[in-house]
Amino acid sequence: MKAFFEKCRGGGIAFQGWELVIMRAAFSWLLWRSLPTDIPYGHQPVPNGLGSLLDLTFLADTGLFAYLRIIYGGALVLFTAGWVPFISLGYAAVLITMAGGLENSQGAIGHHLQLVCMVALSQWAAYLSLLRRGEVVWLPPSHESHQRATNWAILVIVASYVTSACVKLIASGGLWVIQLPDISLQLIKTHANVYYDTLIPQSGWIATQLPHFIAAHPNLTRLFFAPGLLLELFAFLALFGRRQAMLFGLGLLSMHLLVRWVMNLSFGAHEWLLVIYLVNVPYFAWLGIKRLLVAHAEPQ
Amino acid sequence: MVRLVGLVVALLLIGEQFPFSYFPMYSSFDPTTDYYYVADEAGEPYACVQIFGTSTANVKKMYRARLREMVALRDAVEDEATLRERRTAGEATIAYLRGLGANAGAAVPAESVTLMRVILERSDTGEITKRELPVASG
Repeated sequence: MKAFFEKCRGGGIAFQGWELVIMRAAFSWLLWRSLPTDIPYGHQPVPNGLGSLLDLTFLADTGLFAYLRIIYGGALVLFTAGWVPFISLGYAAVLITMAGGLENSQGAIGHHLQLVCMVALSQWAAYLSLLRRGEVVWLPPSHESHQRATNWAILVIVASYVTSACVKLIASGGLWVIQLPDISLQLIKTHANVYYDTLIPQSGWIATQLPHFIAAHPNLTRLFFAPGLLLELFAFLALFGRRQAMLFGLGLLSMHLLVRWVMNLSFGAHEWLLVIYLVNVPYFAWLGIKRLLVAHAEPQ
Repeated sequence: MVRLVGLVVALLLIGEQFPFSYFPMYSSFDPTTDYYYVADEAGEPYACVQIFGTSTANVKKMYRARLREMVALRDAVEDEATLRERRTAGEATIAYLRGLGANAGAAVPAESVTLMRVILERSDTGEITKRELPVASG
């Protein structure tokens, strides 16, 4: 128990410089692919969040948005290099948040951009705090500053999953697992949505038979889907170190892939954020190679 | 850990205010649900993304947002909406979809289209039933 509370007070993961460069490059790529190429929304019929504070419809100006997007690309290159992130990442974070704000002010709130925006904004806030400490900001910030920003990204990702678990428990009155067999209707709905979006017939066992199988086998369904709730609820354990982060990252990634497979519903940005910040493949690949080399170098 | 708890509490309190979210997707399940699609006068569905530039999941959210706004004016909730209110919200959604499709450069049909609602129900024995009804045309 004492060790648990000591871990709770932990100051985040100590990354190496090259890991942080790879993470910035991968996150920049994710930010680039998350920003739409053009914005068709000329109105904000149901303003939400940032959209209720600002009129964001100027982004629908195709010519202007093209320029803003070019600058966005340049800013992401600068951010990847680690230069002036309080401007480079700040610009990118603000632009994608405004684009998302406009998209979510159409009366339909989607959930593919929130986590990307929160991760970008939280890192920007971490860099901005350098200004308050009087650090020289025109030069690349210190290794510790990049590390601090990255640990904030991980914290925000983990917090979003824990929040999602709490909402499941609150909204269902603690009966989420009991209600699970009714997910069968959601399966039919998501496959029908894909059909009516594209008119491509949704055939195969998953689309046609699985919902009825789930509806008819409630306890099996609970056994199968309940681990997802536990993974989300205990996602905070990922903050305890690299290995825990990787394990929970892989667990949550598996959950998303399962949802993608069963429900035809993808949360691509969430999956990539888990891969980039929690699973951290480059570090574990480097560690594995290093250990192999050491093992081979040892005298027989 | 204090930061984590603070963030979770903040996200729960702020709710759905972009860029913040408490990620309420599939947070509870009911034995009844519904989905929507857009059809032509003969009842044949349109490929929503191609024709109107948005998904049917968004069409449902847009329709419900308009319906909630409408019934809130008389201090009612969505479930208490009358058929007339549903039709008005549906017509407003169709008008919005036509504009959205045109903005996206899609070939929006000139003739009247119908917003269809499909209601799914799961019985205590696990049997699933489906019924369809038109919401509005325009």
